[in-house]
Amino acid sequence: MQRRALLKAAGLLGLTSLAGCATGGGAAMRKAQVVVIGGGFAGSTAAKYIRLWAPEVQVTLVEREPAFVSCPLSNLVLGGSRDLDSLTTGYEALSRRHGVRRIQDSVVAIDAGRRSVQLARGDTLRYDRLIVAPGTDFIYDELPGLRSEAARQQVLHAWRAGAETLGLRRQLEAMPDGGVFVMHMPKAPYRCPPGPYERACQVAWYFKHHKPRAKLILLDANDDIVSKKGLFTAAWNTLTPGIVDYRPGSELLDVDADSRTAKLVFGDERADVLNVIPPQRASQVARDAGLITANDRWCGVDFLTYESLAAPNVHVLGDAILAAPQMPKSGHMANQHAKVCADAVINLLAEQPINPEPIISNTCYSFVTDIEAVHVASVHRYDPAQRTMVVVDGTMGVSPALNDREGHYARAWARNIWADMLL
Amino acid sequence: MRYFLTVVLAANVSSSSLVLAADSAEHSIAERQVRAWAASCAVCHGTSGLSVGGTASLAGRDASELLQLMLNFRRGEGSPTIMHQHSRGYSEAELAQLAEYFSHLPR
Repeated sequence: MQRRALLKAAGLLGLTSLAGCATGGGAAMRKAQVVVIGGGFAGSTAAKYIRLWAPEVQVTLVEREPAFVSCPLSNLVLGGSRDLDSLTTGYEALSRRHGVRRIQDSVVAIDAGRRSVQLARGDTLRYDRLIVAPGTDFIYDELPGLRSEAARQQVLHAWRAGAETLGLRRQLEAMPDGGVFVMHMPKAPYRCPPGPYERACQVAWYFKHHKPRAKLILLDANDDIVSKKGLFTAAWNTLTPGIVDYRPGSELLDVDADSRTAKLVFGDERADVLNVIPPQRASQVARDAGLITANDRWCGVDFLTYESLAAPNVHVLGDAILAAPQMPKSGHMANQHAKVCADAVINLLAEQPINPEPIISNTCYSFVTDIEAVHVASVHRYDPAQRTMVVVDGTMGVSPALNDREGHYARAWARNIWADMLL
Repeated sequence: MRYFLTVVLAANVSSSSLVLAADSAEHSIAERQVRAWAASCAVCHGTSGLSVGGTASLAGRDASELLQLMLNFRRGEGSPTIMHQHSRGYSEAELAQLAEYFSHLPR
């Protein structure tokens, strides 16, 4: 009875399919221009959803790469069970199917006063609303040994999927059995909290099957495992015993690329293969535009619209933002930002009320073997008193144990989110 | 100019205290809100409720069935791996709205 009553209440709201419907706003909407900078999880999703919900709004997506390569699941390339092609999706469908105008170029400057964006090859784009989803850049200020291009070609981060993923895999393949792989990971917040621990699982899995005498040292600048601690510990202890040596509280002072040495407070760690994931901040384009508002690293936003606290008519999405409490820097979360933003931008352009209560979710899957995965998930909703997103009680949690069910859902998540953002 | 509207949802139909300011737009505020909430599910269940594989599609499903599944997940029933967590993010009334919304999406 209760269920029928709830459904009847929902029916009274007259909810029907909104697919393909235009919003109100008339002539003003038909000339509206939205420019999106960045074709990652956030930018692509924002571009598609604005077109989906308001096809009278013109959307231009500026992305410097010719195709999207997914960082999520890229650790499987290091583990040896996936190739990069299987993680790569082109941008053509965004244009062909959704009418997004795509420009392959990079951004030189944003003029928020004039509402224009200058591109490297010379074009200037005008906008009514700008969405900046630029991701993160690495900070080398405190790592003088990695300032040169040559050093960075020897000591890879592979924290942006693509050529470096392949490069690191090749380094691991060339490593002798009995060799040592040293990873360093930065203090939180950084892109993808469980990512480095997943990488340790994947490389340990590779070693177990192909280089059984090899060792992996994971140097963590954090005082403890920041995500899925019990699960990763169980994975290292039971799935690849004797391979992963986890060392928290390991602050990195510098790197010597030639000798592949990580210099720490308590001594040096020399490696046969050295992987350093440097600390991160919002990308240069956000920095230059004055969008960074916190710790010289992250862009503050209004969580109802993702509008920048620093510049009107400019919205910032994804890893670049100053996150709400317990909000991870994940591809899934970036996709969620984009939908709230798309909805808000459409309402703002049409001078309609915005949604006062966004509800978004996160699910991060980590692959502990070539096929098995575990998750962390949460639901976040807007709290008007605190003016931020808060985790809903009872929603934050992880897999109870290692298991053989979730790998299937992790692969399904990947297929569906890539399609959701790009197809 | 933007303004906020509080949409009050009645859990009990007979009180009928639903407050909607249907504006001149083709779709009301409440409709756009549930559409935005529902978009969250697309990451696993596909854009517009059409999964590309590995998960259930939600488009065109019976609203009553979808709601019952979500209410069960909330109680930890039905062997969920993550849906017990996600379903707890919404009130029962919100889950009903979402179920109704998905039921009208084309298959």
